[in-house]
Order: sequence, then C-alpha cells, then structure tokens
Amino acid sequence: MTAAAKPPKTKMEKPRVVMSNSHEPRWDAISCFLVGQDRGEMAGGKEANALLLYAKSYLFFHKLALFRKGETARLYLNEPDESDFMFHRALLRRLIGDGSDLVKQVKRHGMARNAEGLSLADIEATVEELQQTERQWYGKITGKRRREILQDVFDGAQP
Amino acid sequence: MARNPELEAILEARYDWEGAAPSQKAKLRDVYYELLDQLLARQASHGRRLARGDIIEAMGDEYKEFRRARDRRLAARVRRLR
Repeated sequence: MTAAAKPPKTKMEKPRVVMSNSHEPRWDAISCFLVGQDRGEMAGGKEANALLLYAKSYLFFHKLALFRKGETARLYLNEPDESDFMFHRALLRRLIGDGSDLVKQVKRHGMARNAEGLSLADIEATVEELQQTERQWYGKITGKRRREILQDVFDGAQP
Repeated sequence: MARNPELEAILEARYDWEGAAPSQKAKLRDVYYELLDQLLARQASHGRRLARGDIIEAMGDEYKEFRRARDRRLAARVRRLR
C-alpha cells in the first residue's frame, strides 16, 4: 500500500474534493451518489454539488444508452405493438424530464471537469435529441402537410 | 431508403448524433443543424418559410426507415461475428 492510500490514523478526516481529470474514485461523490438527494435539493458544498451533478450526468447517459438499445430491439428490429409504444413514450418523457432537470441544476451549480470532456452543452443537445425522437414518433403532423414539406424541400423525395 | 442525396446526408447526420458518445453530442447536433439550416436558408430564398421543427417532423418516417435499415445491417454483422 502506498502512503497516499493509507487511511487517516487519527480522527476521520473530511474527504478532500479534487477537481482533476483523474479516474480515481472520490468518496464524497460516491456517497452523494449512493445516499444522495434525488429531489433536486443540493445540500453539499460547491465542489461536492459539481461532482454529484457529474455523477448524475454519467448515470443519465447510461439510461439513455439503455433506452436506445431497447428502442432498437423493440421498435426497429421487430414489429412494435401497442405496449411497446406505451413504454417507449413513457420512458422517453421521463428521460426528457430528467435531462431537463439536470440542465437546470448544472446551470445553477456547475459540473465537475471530467476526463470524458462532458459538458452542459452535451446534456442540452441530448435533451433536444430526445425531444426530436418524441416528435418523430408521436408528432401531430398530418400526412398531407408532411408530403407538402417533403415535396417542397427535397423535390419530392419519398421512400 | 431515401433517394435524395441531401435528405440522405441529413438522416446520416441525425443518426450520427443519436449514436454519438456523450461528449460528442453537442458537436454532432451542430453538424446536423448546420445541414438543416442550409436547407432552410435555400427555402427562404424561394419565399418558403419553414422552421427546423417542420422539417424534422416531416422527415420522421424517412428517419425511421433509415435507422431501421442501419440497425438491421448492424445486427446482421454482429450475428455473423458470433
């Protein structure tokens, strides 16, 4: 064990928040994540909040990847039924809501610098991407209007 | 499959954006919007006022077809590798 890895010998020290590009786990972030507030209130210090929001962002992108995987399997590689659309729409809305909340929180508290280079703009872009998916599947455009636009814009390109 | 090359390029850009790594999301969204905005500017020069949202929604079925073809191709490749 290296000197740096030894636990403190005397009283419990408050974990130090290190803002770096290191992949080292950080106890304050882990505890915030495991115990943490999930209702939007941010009780920690500035740096702990920024770390917590990075952790939440990381989780958000994992949820997104899982959602897209399910979407591929159920809506694109198979013939979807009514329950597929019901789940797809509900989960899509949930992700849009989670992403929008995350954007608000990161705007307010910031996000820890990270090795991946993930930024607020990436989260905002992802919320837009999900909103476009919602319009694509559940939008209100009529067939007539759709054909008119495609005809005008792409000179009648049709599948 | 969409036959118009410009439509094809826009669908490709959207597919890339959806499949992008988290840290590339903003960059690839901008590429997609750039293509859409070029199209909108050309439409405006012909007196046709459209918003991004109009085109995005109108292309919905084209995108589904595009992604379905890509996903099927990818799934077939993965099956061959197993």
